[in-house]
Amino acid sequence: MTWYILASALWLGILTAISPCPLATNIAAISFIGRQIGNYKGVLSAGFLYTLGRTFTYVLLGAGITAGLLATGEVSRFLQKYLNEILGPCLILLGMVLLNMIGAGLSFDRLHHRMHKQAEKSGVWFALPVGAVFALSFCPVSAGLFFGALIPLAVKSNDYFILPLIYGCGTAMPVILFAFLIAFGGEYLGKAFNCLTRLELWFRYTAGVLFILAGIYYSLTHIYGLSF
Amino acid sequence: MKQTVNIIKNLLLIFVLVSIGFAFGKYSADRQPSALPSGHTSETVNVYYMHATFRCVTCNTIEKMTRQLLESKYKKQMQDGSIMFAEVDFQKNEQMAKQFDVISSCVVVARTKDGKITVFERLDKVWELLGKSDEFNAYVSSAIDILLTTGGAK
Repeated sequence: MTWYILASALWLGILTAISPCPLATNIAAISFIGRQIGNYKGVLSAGFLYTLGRTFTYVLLGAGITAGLLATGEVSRFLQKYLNEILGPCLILLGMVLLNMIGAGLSFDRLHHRMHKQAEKSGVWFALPVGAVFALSFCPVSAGLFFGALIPLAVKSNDYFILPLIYGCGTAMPVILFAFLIAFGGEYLGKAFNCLTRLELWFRYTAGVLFILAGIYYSLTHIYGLSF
Repeated sequence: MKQTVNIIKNLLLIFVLVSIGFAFGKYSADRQPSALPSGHTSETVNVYYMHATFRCVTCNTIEKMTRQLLESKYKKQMQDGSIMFAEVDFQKNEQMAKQFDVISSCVVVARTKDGKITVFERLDKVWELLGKSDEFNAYVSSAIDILLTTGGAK
């Protein structure tokens, strides 16, 4: 395998991420990863787990297709048709969790406190399934580039692991870059104006609102068939 | 304040439930497979722009570039009907989606005889050539030219 093929896989991933098609999910992901302003370790871990989730999906799909378990066209059409419809309500519910609208009320005092701490800790781990599900929700661009360009490239170069992995990293790279810029820009602002704690809370709520808005957008376009 | 949050929370939950119900209802409704939009009884070359129900900006660019190519390079054939263009929603027309094994929005060129597709080529590389209009035009043209010259429509 040449460097040219590896670079092509990375470029296809970046091309997927910077196209307007997955913009709604990318904005949600950026706000989700970058919401822990000032917490370098948290942002880094969430970014890494988000990338891992995405690459896991692509490697699994690539392996399934090349092993003959999945038919490229069938699986691509299935995911485009149903996954985007499931994603809308899921994003809204996740946004409500981030805003403490649901989830928190299910527990009682001590349990609640423990669960809240647990949720904060596992909040980072949420990045893994978020990455995996966002990668599964193929929009026309990601489906065209993954199934139509990357898979044929993987078949041609007889590599079903490294290329989907690099592609996954490429799709996550711009998202992580922006998340870092927001997280560290936010920290700078917070320190400069001496309002870091308030800003942290505000960022968390912004992430929740963006998840809900992205969810409403996905529901309106994919379930109700409206176009904007 | 708390009351407003509660109202928003309930509205969002209702929206989620209605959306899930609507999605299920949509698929339980009967669907008739639509026919191939071929149109002609003689031999023609059909250029299909296949798209999902959700139209993205990049997908619209592919359609626009294909239409521009047909209107500039194949104006005569478009006028005499030897080349026909149609846009097809592959999520609604499952028959065509399966026949062409469509992966995502793409261009398909096909030769049809008496309304039946005899040979076709799916052009997936349009995605990679979006920023390069010369290469895009050369790629789509060569597929059309092969079908035009190897029998059928002329």
